[in-house]
Amino acid sequence: MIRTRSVAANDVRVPEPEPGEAVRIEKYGGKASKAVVLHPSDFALFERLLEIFEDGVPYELELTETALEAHALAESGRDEAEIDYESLARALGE
Amino acid sequence: MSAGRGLRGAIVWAIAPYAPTAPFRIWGGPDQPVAVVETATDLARMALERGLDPEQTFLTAGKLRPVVILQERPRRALPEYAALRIVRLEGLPRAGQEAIRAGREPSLFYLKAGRAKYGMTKEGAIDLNSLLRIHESAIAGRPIGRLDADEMRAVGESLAQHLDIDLTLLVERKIRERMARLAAARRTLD
Repeated sequence: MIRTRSVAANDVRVPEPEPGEAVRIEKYGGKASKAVVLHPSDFALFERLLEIFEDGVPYELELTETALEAHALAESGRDEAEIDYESLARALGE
Repeated sequence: MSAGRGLRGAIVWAIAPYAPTAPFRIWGGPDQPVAVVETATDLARMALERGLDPEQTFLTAGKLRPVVILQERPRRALPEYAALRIVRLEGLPRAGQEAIRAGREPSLFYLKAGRAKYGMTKEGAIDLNSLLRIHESAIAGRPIGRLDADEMRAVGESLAQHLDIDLTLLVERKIRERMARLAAARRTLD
């Protein structure tokens, strides 16, 4: 994740970007960027995307014991003591 | 089963086979003993050395159970559907069940019991690690319940992660399209 520093709105003067807009604050006559201001909703999306794509670690490494146990039970049919007959009857219209 | 339209997000009873695992049992016909091949490599060697029929009938276990269908087939051009198995919670330790109910298990999408929405009298969870292919002829009867669009979106996002699918370029393109739409809308307002 990106490191985020917070400052009070009363302590700074910043432009107010609209959703979907980035305000680039330039220096040296526009030859370089000093900062970019995003709308909070866009920054939230940016952080979420970073979280999804930054590591590329195989998801299996994140599986919990409960996930593994549930999968093993279902893959062997041991997750249910008895078939849900009421539900099955509904499927068959009976 | 009148499959084909409106099945994306549907919960149906279907024949859900388990993944074939070694040793592999091969049915050779009513008058033949079931052959047992210890490994896939052994079968490959048999094919290489002695020749095999073009295909074999593997005996593999499966179960009639609720699954959630992930795809729509409006043209009915493809008879197979991607689906995920629904696992019942009752066989899990209590702490695990509570974690699933509370949404703290990313691999298990909780489905509460009740006829109205999901059509099951027992609570369950969609196992994001159980991607299946279900032929339309393996679906029994009609759907018993359905996930709504938001739930399918959440399942889809989580499934992409569980399958290690790299969506970077797709998401980047979608973001650019969204930004362009927002900018166009703003220009219109201005």
